[in-house]
Amino acid sequence: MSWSWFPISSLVTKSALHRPVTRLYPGERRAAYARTRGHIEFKINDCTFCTICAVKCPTVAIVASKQDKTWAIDYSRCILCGNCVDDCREGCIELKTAPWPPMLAKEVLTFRKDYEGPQPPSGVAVALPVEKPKTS
Amino acid sequence: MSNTTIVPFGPQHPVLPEPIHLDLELDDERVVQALPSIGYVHRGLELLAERHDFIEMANVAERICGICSFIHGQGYCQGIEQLMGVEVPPRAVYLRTIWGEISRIQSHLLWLGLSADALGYESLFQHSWRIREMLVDVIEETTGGRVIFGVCKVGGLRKNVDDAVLKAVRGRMRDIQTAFNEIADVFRQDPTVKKRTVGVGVLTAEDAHILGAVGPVLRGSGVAHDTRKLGYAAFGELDWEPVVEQEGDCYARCIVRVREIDQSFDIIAQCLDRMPAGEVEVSVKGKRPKGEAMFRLEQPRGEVCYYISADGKKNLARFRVRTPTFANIAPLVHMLKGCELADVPVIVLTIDPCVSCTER
Amino acid sequence: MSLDEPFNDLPLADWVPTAQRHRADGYRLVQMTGTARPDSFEIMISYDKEYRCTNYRTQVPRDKPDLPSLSGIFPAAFTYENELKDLFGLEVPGLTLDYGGNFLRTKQKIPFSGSVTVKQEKAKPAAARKDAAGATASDTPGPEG
Repeated sequence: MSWSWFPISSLVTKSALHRPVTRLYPGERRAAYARTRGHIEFKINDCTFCTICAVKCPTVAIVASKQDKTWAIDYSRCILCGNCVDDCREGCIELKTAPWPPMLAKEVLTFRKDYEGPQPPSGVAVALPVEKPKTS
Repeated sequence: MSNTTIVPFGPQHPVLPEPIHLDLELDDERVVQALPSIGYVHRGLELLAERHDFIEMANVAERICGICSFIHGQGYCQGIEQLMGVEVPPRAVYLRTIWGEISRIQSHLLWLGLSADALGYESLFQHSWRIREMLVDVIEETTGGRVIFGVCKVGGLRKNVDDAVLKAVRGRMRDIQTAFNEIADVFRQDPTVKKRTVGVGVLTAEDAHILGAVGPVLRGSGVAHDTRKLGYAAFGELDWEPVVEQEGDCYARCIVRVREIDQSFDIIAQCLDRMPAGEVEVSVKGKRPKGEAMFRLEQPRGEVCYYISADGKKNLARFRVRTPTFANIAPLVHMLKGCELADVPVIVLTIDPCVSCTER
Repeated sequence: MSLDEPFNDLPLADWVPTAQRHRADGYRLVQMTGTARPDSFEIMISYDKEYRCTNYRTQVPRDKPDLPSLSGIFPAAFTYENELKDLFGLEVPGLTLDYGGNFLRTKQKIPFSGSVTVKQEKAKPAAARKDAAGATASDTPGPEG
């Protein structure tokens, strides 16, 4: 049975001469890998509100409504499984590598595609009441 | 004359990562009897299987444990695939094997760090976790997650891994192995480690077998039983033998884990050499599991048993997991009898308790 | 991978003799588990020798849920039997170390017995609530940094 202090002393000497392996966190950050699951990003412009993502979501984090044209995600429920990204036919859901910042409260992001009514006819002069100079 | 005192140990204790409570009956400084009690974090995940879609349940199975998350997901998916009669493509099988071994290494490194911490060896603790961090980066690069891998699904894997990435992984695993060999020598030779562990908490081979010990506890007692020998995933095609140590004390269990890490590096290298090309998933659309199956896998902590009973519906009829720590409670009680109070934390740690997965 | 490990049905009277036989033959107790079936509890036990697992199951009637204890034969059985007691409400006469239903501290007693109706929380996520809509944005604001 060999008893030796040598391995730990060489390890300690080596790390004393080495620069720290840790990072000074807020200033120095780790680069994310291409595959890192950070957060879900949504672009409303291409969305057709098919609601497939909401059906496929295992934790019911996504709620989409066809009538109201809204899409909402609850980041505290999302487990970043990526089902919605794979199943989106329009490609408007993306998985980004940057992690979502810590939440102080439950955050629900709601998107709404505004109602597109008829364009107001152009060239209509709005008749403002002209204030006539007072004549005495 | 009865001169015994009862000392409560846990559920909150500096060496315990998770809540287990022990009532230690002491005669002076010697433990006469230990009475374990668990149940602080029971979550009822088994019942959840009866309410969830069996495909979604893979996500839940992966969250049974934070350290062996991948192997739980793999075990669940393998069971469902077996019931449905689905054959997973060979590349997926090999990638699953690699990830299983990576999670074994990171679990053992985590345990080596925690045990060094329990011995009062802070610098060794930090060094173990420094190396584990390098490994977790490899996990993140290949899967996208650091704790929950999220790559296993019923029918294969969610994503393929490029050969270029695998080539980089091979180089990085070599670096990690070099770094690990430095601290492995510390665990093998350092007087501090030896003084606290040699001859402490001895479990003989007969006791270990009868008490149903699993994993490194069983192999540290000289029984060559490793569930990977059943040949699930790619283990049947690889060249390896179970690691066995004869002494049965805490030091033997520690050395079993150190040697298993070395062996896992070797298994990963073999898998990378033989990596088949091709797809990583098969479609399971429209198929439903039917029948029942009992099957076993080797986790870092030992043998895990799954029992799945399905009747062709969307939900499973019963999903049962017997985790390794649950099987190791009885050997723990046996080991604690007659030890010194100061050795209790070390002995408790050598079974690598993971109470959260014990209670599911 | 199929291991071809059969499930053998066993009358309740043979429960203890089978365990004694396996103990004498040098088997190891792998696990014990229960399943709640409509008219009975199905208890399953697995023994292992040389990587070969043998499974047995028996039916315990619901009106008299008595399962004779194996903890005298296999000392490791006490954890499994206490678990069965806590989750399914079985009575295990002869248990060496009896926690009296407090081994697993579940909020609801005997939750797996099948007669308990779990409060069904409707999967109504916070995102669906009208008033919870915190931020209404036209595009995802990026994370900080």
